[in-house]
Amino acid sequence: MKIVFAGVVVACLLGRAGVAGAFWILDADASAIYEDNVGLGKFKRDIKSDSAISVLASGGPAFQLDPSTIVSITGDVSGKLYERFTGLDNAALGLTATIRRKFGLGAEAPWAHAFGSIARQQYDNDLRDSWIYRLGVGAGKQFGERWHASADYIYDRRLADHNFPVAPGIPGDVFDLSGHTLALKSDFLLSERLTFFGGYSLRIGDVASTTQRNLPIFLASTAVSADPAFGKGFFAYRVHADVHTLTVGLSIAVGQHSSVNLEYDHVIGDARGGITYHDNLARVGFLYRY
Amino acid sequence: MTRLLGGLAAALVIVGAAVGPPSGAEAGDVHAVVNDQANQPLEDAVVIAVPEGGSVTAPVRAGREVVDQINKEFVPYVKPIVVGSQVDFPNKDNIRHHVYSFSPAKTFELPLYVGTPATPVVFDRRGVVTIGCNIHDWMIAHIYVAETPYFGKSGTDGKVRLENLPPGRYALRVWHPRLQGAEESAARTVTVERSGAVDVAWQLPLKQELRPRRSPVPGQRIYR
Repeated sequence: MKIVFAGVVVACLLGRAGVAGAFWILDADASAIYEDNVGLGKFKRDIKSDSAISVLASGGPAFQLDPSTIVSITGDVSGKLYERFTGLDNAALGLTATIRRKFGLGAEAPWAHAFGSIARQQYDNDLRDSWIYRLGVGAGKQFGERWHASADYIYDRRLADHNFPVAPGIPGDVFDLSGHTLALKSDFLLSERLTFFGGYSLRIGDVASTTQRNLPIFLASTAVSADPAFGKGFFAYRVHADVHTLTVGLSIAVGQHSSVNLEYDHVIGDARGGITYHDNLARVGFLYRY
Repeated sequence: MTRLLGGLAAALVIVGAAVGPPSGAEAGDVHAVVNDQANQPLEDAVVIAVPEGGSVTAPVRAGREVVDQINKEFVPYVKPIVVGSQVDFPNKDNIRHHVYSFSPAKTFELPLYVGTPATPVVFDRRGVVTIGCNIHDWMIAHIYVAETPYFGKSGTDGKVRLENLPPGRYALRVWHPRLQGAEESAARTVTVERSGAVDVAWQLPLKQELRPRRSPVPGQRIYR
């Protein structure tokens, strides 16, 4: 609530100040998602699939500081509702500040940006309630008429509210996580309305994996807690992992402000102790941008 | 004396401009139809009639033209003008635009502005000038700078009417932003009589329209 209030105050003050070159931006997305390993388990007995509805809206003022530089401050609201594992239902409120600079004139001029965000994420299941902080830098460029490519580095830090230990001497704040991500993205214009997009990201850091009692993951973990979101007998383990994500998708323009998007993600997590998990996500979404 | 002669020359130019092309019994028309390769009417095709071999003396009437910016788009998308015309680029949005062109026929830049820049841009060379906005990469328009005053642009029905052309032989060209190949490849020669109309039809091969997309692509953001 404090975040929203702060965001509204900042937006109103800037708006009232009549800052030159100010305008409003808005992105809104609604998606249906199917995920075949929501708990990020390794063994078949732990692999649980589910479907979810996800919504996201991000909007606020942007300021054209000079011909090349834009600063934006957006309020971000998101929510996700699961079909089976309702303990994973969540809502988040946040603020994101971004500065973006274009180096030169024309559509093919390269650009760079830096951003920081803070968000409060509240789950149906308390264990996951947390504050999430992200800092990132990135750059991109359009190549010719069809290609656009960008790269981002992101540091993320998630601070969990609760510490529910289940084993003496082992922390229970499983969702206290941090990581470093390198993300490469590209999109290719197939036709006037059709764009193919894809990407690869590597995140090195903590992940939370939920399984039934499991000695190898227990030995590799740095925190353990019971995870009632998946039912009795399930435990969430925090492990250090290299997570590779491959994304491919198709974006279909619907008018000037909207698109329908089909996306597939394949995730491979390589954790300490030879623990490897796979996760597949399919997403169909409607994206609106003002 | 110099001032007097200058004033006289200016007066002659104004009178010449006011007289314009002939009309009535001493003029003919060209009725053109432009279709795409699927034989569908093609909007925004520019048809140009260039008098051949000095058979006609074309009065060049350079004027002041406008290309608007409305709802983050250039309006119109295609604007034919005659060489020497001045063009204003009023920004009718409540945000700033930054208009530029890299085209050899006219390179210019109107850095970040609202309203209408005080000085119009003069287009003094024949050719196609593609303009863009440096803030909104999807904003693109084309200014066709013709060496003749006899030109027109097709509407949604693909039809162009060039009226009141002095009788004589003309090279007819057609251009479109998506035209495949050089515009000279589709050139025709016609004779305009003292009255009546010459009918011309084109079926143009077009390439895909590829420009930065305005509608959102996941992960790609414009302002952040």
